[in-house]
Amino acid sequence: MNLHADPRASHRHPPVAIHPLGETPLDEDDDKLVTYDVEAEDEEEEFDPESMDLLTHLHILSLRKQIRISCHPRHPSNATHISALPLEVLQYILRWVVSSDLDLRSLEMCARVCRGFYMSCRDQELWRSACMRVWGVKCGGLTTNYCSWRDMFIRRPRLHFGGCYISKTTYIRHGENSFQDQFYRPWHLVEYYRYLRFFADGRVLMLTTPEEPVSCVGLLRRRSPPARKPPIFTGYYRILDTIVSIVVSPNDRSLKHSKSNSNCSPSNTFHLELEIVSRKKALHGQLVWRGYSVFTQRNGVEIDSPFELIHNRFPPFYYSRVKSYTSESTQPLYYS
Amino acid sequence: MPNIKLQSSDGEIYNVDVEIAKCSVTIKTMLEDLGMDEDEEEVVPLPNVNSAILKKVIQWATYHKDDPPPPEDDENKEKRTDDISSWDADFLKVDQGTLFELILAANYLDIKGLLDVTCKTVANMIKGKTPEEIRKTFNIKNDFSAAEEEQVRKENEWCEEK
Repeated sequence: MNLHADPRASHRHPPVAIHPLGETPLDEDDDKLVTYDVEAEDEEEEFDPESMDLLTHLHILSLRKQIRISCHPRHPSNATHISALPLEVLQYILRWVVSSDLDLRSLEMCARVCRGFYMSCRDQELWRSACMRVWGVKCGGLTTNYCSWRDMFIRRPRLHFGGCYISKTTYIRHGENSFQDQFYRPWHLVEYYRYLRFFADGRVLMLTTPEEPVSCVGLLRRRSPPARKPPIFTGYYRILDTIVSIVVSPNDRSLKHSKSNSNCSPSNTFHLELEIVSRKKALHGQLVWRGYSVFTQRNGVEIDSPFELIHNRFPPFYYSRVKSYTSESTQPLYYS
Repeated sequence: MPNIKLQSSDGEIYNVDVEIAKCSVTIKTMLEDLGMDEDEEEVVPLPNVNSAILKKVIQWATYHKDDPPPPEDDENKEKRTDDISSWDADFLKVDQGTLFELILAANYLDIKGLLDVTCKTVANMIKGKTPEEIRKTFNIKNDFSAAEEEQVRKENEWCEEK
C-alpha cells in the first residue's frame, strides 16, 4: 500500500470553517496578523470547554499558527524523533495500535500524550473502521443517537475484547444425612466460575471450572485454546441490539478424544443468550442470562433441552480486563 | 541475474539484484516507467535514504526476496498470519532513531512488508502503556494546557477503569 497515494489521507482533517464566537477573523487586521505568527506561542488562547470542543480548538490553533500540530521532543536529541513521521504514517501506526482486536483503550491512552497525538487519535475514519468491525453490515450510519463514530463505539451496546467475562456461582447444597450418625448433617459449599472470552472476529471461548481467574485467564488468550480437561468450549457469537447469542461446543480435539473413550457420544452444542447491561461506570460491563439450552444430536435428531435459569446458579458475568490479551498486535485495523 | 546500482543520499553506491530492488514499488515503477532495466550502468539515486539505512533495507529485502506477495484483495487480508519472525525481531533490534528512519525509508520506497513490520514494532511499544510511559518511551513533550489535559481525561473516562 502506498500511503502517499491514499486518497483518504487528504481529507482526514477537514479544514475548520467556523470561527470561534466573538473572534475577529484572521485576515481582517494586518497588524494583528503579525502577532499570530509562529512565534506567538505565548498568546495562545486558553481552551474553554464551554465554548467549543477540544478538537475544534486545536484545529483553530494549528490554522492560526499555520503549522500542523505535531508532537515535540521533551529533551533535545540527535536521533530521529517520532515527530519526523508523516501524518499518514502515524495514522497507520495507530491502526496497528488498535489492531484487528480493537484495542481502543490503548488508542485513548495515546490521545492523552500530547496535542498532536490527540488530533490523530480522534480521526473519524479510524473510529468508523472500529464500528464497522464491531457491527459489520448492521452498523448503519450516524443517526441522531450518536454525534460521532467514537460516540457510537463508546455508548452503543457491544462486547469488550481486552479481557474476559467472569461469572462466579456460589451456593450451598444440603448433603445427605449420615446413616449412622443422625446428628451429622453436611452442607456443601459449591463454588465455580464460568469464563467467556470474545474475539472481534466473532469467535468465543467458554470455560467452566472451579479454578480461580488468576490460573485461567491465560488459557483464554488465543483463539485456539490449549487442550485440557475439562475442555474449553469454542464457538461463535453475534449481537443483535443488546442481546448476545452464543453457540459453543467442546472443541474438536477433545471431541475426538472423548469419542474414542465412549462409543455413544452424542454431539452437544450449548446455546446461550445474554443481555449486555451497563453498570454505573463500566459501560457494557455486565452480561445477564436470558436463555441457556443444550442441543443434543443423536442419530440425526436434535433435541433442545433448556436449563432453568435459577437465579443463584446463574449470576451475571462481569467484565475484567486482562492486560496480556492486548499486549501485542498481529494485524492492523484495516480501512473499511 | 542483472544488477542495478542504488545511490544513497550521501553518495554511497550499492549493487543490488534487480529482483530484490523491485520489492520497492517506488524503484519498480521507476524502472518500468523509465525503461531502465535494460541498462545496467544506470544509477538510481535515492535522495531520501542515507547509506546506513539503505544497507539495512537491502539486507531486509534480500532475506525476504522469496516471500509470497501480499494478497491484493481485501478478503484475503484478514487470513494472513504475520507474526514477526525471529529474523525480523533480530533485524529490528535497533535504536529508536534507526527504527523511525527505517519507517521513513519503507514509506518512501513503498515496501509494504517492511513498513508493516516496523509500524507493528512501534505499535507494540505503545500498547498497554500509560500516557506518561508513552511520553517517556518516545521522548515526547506534554504540550497540553491544564484545561486541555483535564478535558481529554474527561473524554477518555469511559476506559479509565483498570
